Amino acid sequence: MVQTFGRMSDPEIAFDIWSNEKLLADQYHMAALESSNQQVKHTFLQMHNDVHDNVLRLHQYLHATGHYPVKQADQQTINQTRSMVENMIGQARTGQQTYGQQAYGQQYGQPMYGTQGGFQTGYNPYQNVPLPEWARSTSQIPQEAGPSSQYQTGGYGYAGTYQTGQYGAGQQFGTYNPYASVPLPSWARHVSQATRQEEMPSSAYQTGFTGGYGQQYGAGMAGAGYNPYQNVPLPPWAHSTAQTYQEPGATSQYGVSRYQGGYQATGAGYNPYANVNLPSWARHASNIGEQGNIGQTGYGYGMGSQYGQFQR
Amino acid sequence: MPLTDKELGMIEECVRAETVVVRKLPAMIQQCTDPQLRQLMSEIHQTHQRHLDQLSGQIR
Repeated sequence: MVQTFGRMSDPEIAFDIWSNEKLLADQYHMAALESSNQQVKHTFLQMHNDVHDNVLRLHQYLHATGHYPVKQADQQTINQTRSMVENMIGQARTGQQTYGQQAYGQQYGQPMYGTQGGFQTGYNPYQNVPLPEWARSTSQIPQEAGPSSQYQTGGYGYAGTYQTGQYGAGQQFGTYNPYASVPLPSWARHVSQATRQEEMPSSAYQTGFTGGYGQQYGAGMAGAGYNPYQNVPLPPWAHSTAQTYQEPGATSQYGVSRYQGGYQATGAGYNPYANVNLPSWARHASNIGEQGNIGQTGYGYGMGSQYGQFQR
Repeated sequence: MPLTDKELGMIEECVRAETVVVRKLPAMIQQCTDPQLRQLMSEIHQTHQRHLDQLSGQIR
C-alpha cells in the first residue's frame, strides 16, 4: 500500500532537496577520494562542486525567505575564538607543541655551522620540577652566556634531535608520553625548549623526556655547513666524539650522552666554560636525557658533519 | 587506464542517487508555489540530469 502525504510546502521542498544535495556532496567527495583514475576523479570532483553550488543556493533561498535563520556569532565568542586560533598558529609557527605528549620544537642559540642529526630516547625524572624563569622563554633565542641551551619539557619517550644551519637549529619529536593525561603547568604547554643562556655555565642541560637513555641515533645528515673556524685548532677533547661520558664537574654541553653512538667529522663544540664547575643538577646528566651532541652546543667549531650510528 | 572495481562501484552508487533525485524533482517542481524556488529547482534538476550523462559516459 502506497501512502500519500499530500502537497509539500515550498520550504519542505527546499529542505528535502537541500538534504539530498548534502548527501550527494558526501557521496561525490568519497568517490573522488577513492578514485585513482584521473578522469573519473576529475568527474567526481566536478560534480561535487556542482552539488556544493546547489547547496549554497538552497541555503540562500531558505535564509532569504526566513525559513532558515542563522544566528550571528557574538563579539565575545569571536574574540575568544580569535585568541585561541592565534595561539595555535603561534605554536605552529614556532614549531612547538608541548601538551605533555610531544616535544616538537626548534632550538637556536648555538653558533654551529653544519648539519647534525640524531635521535634520543629517554626519560626525564625531573619532569615535575618547575622550570626557572629563563627556561620558560620560548625557542629561537640566541644563546648568551648562560646555563642551558636545551631545556626540554617534552614527553616521555622517543625524540629526535636535528641540528641544521648556522645556529644549530634542532628539532625534537616526542612520540609517546605515558603522562599524557597529567596536566602540565601553563609554561610547559608553550615551551618545549628554551635555549636561552644567561648566567650559568652549562650550555646543554636538558631535562626533557628526550635523551633519557643517552642513546643517540645519528641520522647521518650530510654536513652541509660552513665553518669559518675551520682553521682554528680544536682542543683535544673536541676530537673525541663517540661514547663520551660526562664526568662530574664537566659541563653538560658535550659528552653528556652516555652512549653517543655517532661519528662526527670535525664537528665538535667548544665550550668556553669547560672548566667552570656546574651546579649539582647539571652534573648528573647522563641518565636524565641530556643531549650529548657534540658540536651541538657551545660555540660551534663543528663543521656540522655528523654521521650517526645506531647504537644501543 | 581501466577502471577499478572500486571506481565502478562508486559510479554505480552515484548513478543510483542521481536517478532518485532526477525522478523526484519534476513532481516537486510542480508543487512549488514560489516562482523563485521553482526556477531554482529546475536548474538543480538540469544539473542532475547532466550528472547522469557524465556518469554514464565514464563507463562507455
